[in-house]
Amino acid sequence: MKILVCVKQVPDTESAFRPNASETGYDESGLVFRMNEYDEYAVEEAVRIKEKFRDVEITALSVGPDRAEAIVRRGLEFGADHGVHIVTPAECRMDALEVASLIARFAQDKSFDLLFFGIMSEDYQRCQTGPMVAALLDLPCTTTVISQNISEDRKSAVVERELERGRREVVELPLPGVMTVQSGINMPRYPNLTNKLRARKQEIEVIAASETPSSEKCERLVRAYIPPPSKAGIFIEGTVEEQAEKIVRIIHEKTDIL
Amino acid sequence: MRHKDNIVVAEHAEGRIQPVTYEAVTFAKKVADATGGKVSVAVMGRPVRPFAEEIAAETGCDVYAMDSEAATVYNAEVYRSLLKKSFESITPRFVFIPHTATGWDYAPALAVDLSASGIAAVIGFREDSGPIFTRRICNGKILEDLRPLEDRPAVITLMPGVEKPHSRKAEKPGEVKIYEMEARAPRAKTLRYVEAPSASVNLQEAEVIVAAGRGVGDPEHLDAIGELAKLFERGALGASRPLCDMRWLPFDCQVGMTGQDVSPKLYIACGISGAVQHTMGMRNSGLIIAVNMDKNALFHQTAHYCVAADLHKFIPALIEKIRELKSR
Repeated sequence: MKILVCVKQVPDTESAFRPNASETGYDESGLVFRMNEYDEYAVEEAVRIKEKFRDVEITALSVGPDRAEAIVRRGLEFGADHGVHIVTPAECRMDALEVASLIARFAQDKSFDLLFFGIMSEDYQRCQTGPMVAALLDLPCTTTVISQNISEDRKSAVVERELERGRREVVELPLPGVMTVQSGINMPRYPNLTNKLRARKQEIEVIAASETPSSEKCERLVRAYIPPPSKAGIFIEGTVEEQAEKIVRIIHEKTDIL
Repeated sequence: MRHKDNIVVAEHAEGRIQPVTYEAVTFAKKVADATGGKVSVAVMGRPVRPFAEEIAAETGCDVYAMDSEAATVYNAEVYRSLLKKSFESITPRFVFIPHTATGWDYAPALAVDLSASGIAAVIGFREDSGPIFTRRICNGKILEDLRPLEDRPAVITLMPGVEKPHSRKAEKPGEVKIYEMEARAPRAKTLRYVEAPSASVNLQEAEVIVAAGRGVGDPEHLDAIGELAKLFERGALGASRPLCDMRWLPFDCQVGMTGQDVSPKLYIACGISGAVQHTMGMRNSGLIIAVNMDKNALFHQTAHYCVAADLHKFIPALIEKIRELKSR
């Protein structure tokens, strides 16, 4: 059984973001990059499938600039067998269809049984790449997966997807198929030492994005900018004690609670 | 449907049209006012007539209802095949779909099917020599303005809560047209639905919710936040999703689109960034106070009062002041 897990390198979401000089995205200077959390859950889920079934081969794939190699290695540390890096130019904003086209182009002749994605990336939060890859490869797809159980014959999976307000939909997904993983599906483990050492040395397959035919776009960026000041709440100033005092007074005046 | 029409695809669940459908209609009407064309609504299901008539009456828009056995409940492949079939003769300019677990499940693939533009999680629109759609990136700290590609339709998913659903019935109902259609047999099939288990933490009845987010930093800091919640007679501890994902607090505590929808008299958000996924579940609370070191946190837009302070100093100070008041 062959599993592809697509992983993206993203900055820590609690960072102080500002647009870059060309207004095409966020300024990368000073940001700390790591694996997209949703993708970490996807990698962990793939590793759990490998532990359950024998002869499972996991490929971790990242589309991104040179720095994204670190995330392919991170995938190996978590337990992926192979690492692939489709290298895109630095500071180059890509829309979801461009990324999906690169992934689909790579995957089309590899006969993967299962393609895993995080439901979205933390920086762009589009939720588009996984379902677009599925459409490009004409594979069935289930998004927002919160549990999965592959059948003994490995021909299908019973998948729970999360809907609003805690409701769930149970879907039978035939394989080969695509899943996008919701956070909380598992508790990702820490990489073990063996995998860490292996990941450091193992060769990664590097593909230049320019080697693949130019792909279609699905949007045109006008510009990225800092949101205009909006109707934020009233900021309470002062020392911590003064702030606490003022908040208690506000609660007392505005509600019947205190 | 004529060329250049704006189509809203209705979402229904548990036999009801979801309010996000009407939010999308409000948005689509704004786009139509600025760029021309009219707004129609597409709805798929069986029975589909009651849905279609409700939408026509509520919105005044013409409704293109697709009656199909396969669409009794939502299915991505069925929705895609029915929509693609219906768009064969007449290409819409914009297809608006709510950005929900249903919408993001099929909209990106629909964009591929139609060789359309695809712009996700849109929060705004303006006209500036052509339509421009706005979306948030980087936790809402940056906005992006995007244009769809020309000469092709665009599939736009809309963030819930951006617009108000139509609150008044239309003066004159729209026209309902029902088409019986066969969908492509889907490969992925719904087996059943599982209802949300009733939460052991009853946030619905709480008068005060003190909610913790990733900004608390360390699980041991939850003690002070729990202590603050306990100071109120009907106080409860809530959480944003990341905390539950990390198992710092049980999923029963989760407030937001995928958790509980709450509206207490007082909501104190501690270290919550303010992602829409969270704020959609608590924005109707009476008094909202945000405590977050980050002055630019998105949550400050939802809060009535904001405290940009270190949680680990502010919460103990707040506990002390409340105790002082109570002992008076």
